[in-house]
Amino acid sequence: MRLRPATIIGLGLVLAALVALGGLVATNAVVYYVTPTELAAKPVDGPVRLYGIVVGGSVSYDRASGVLSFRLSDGQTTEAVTSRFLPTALFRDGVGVVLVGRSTAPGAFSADEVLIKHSAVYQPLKPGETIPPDILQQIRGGG
Amino acid sequence: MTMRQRLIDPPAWTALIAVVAVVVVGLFVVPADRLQGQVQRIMYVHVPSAWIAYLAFFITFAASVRYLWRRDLAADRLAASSAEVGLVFTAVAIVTGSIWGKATWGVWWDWDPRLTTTALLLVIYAGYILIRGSIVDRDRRARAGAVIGIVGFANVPIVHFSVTWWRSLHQPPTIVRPGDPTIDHMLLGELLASVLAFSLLFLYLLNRRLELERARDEAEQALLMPS
Repeated sequence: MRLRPATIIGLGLVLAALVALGGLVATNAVVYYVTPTELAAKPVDGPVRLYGIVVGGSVSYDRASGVLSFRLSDGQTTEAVTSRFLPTALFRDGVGVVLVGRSTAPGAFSADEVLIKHSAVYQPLKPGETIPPDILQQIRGGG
Repeated sequence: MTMRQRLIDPPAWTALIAVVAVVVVGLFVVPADRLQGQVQRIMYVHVPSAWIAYLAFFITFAASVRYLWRRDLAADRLAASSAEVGLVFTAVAIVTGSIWGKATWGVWWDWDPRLTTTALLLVIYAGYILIRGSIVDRDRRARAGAVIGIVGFANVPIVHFSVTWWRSLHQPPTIVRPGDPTIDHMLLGELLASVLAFSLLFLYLLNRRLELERARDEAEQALLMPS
């Protein structure tokens, strides 16, 4: 029985995908991100994703250098974060963010990407309701 | 079929009108989410597309089981047709999700468990179609397809539960979860209407694809017949 090249490519694709999937399930999807407490307990040397909540009132932006700074917390441990990445308009106090970057010192994290993990709650604005101020608007339009 | 006959196609018009109606309501009638703003409206295409893809691959799975059990070529035609339409809806879910992700997360793509397993779904069913297209013998084509149609379906629940089982960037389920859906009930109504409209579109496309598969089997039969 001779298989045509397209059959072999197709089988290769399906098998590769199933092996990748089996690997994801078996290793419990590796760990997509760590928390500040986990990072403090077991430092990672190299690129890592870090998840936490933006601490209220901690966000600042230096217009001259273009560096965004804020503190990130998981309720127990806090990291000081700096980044040149401009996050989306959903970035604000108390929002959950996934940082892609690396530790520069214990408790200090440099993020190449600041991704907003939005919730699965969808609600329209109630009459007269205002949403928390958009920090980025202040950053971008603040001068 | 003449051009005029082609224009008189009630299922096509029903599906088209339903999809246009939910898109108009989704864009202009229901309010947008308070935090995400206008981009959240893409949900009314993204979520139905993902669900229809699950449904399509389930049909492929069930029809594949039936083929292996009864050697029924009609079931094999259904399996093949549903997989192909399902692949289109998977692609739509990925593209709309990517646009939504860029506006909310800040990136077009990230290798989070939901996105990764969905990409693998695309690869599995692309492989399914490639393999079927490359096997000439009718019964071997159906058998190979049935095996992949059954094994490949294992990924569908993994895609769905990836956001519950594992840490991810993608938010957890809004509707298919224990307890009340975490969405305003007016928005939920529009979302369910969108799912219905996209289901009509799916049924229409599946039917047309099935006609094509039947015509193909007849043509192959005619070629094999000694004249």
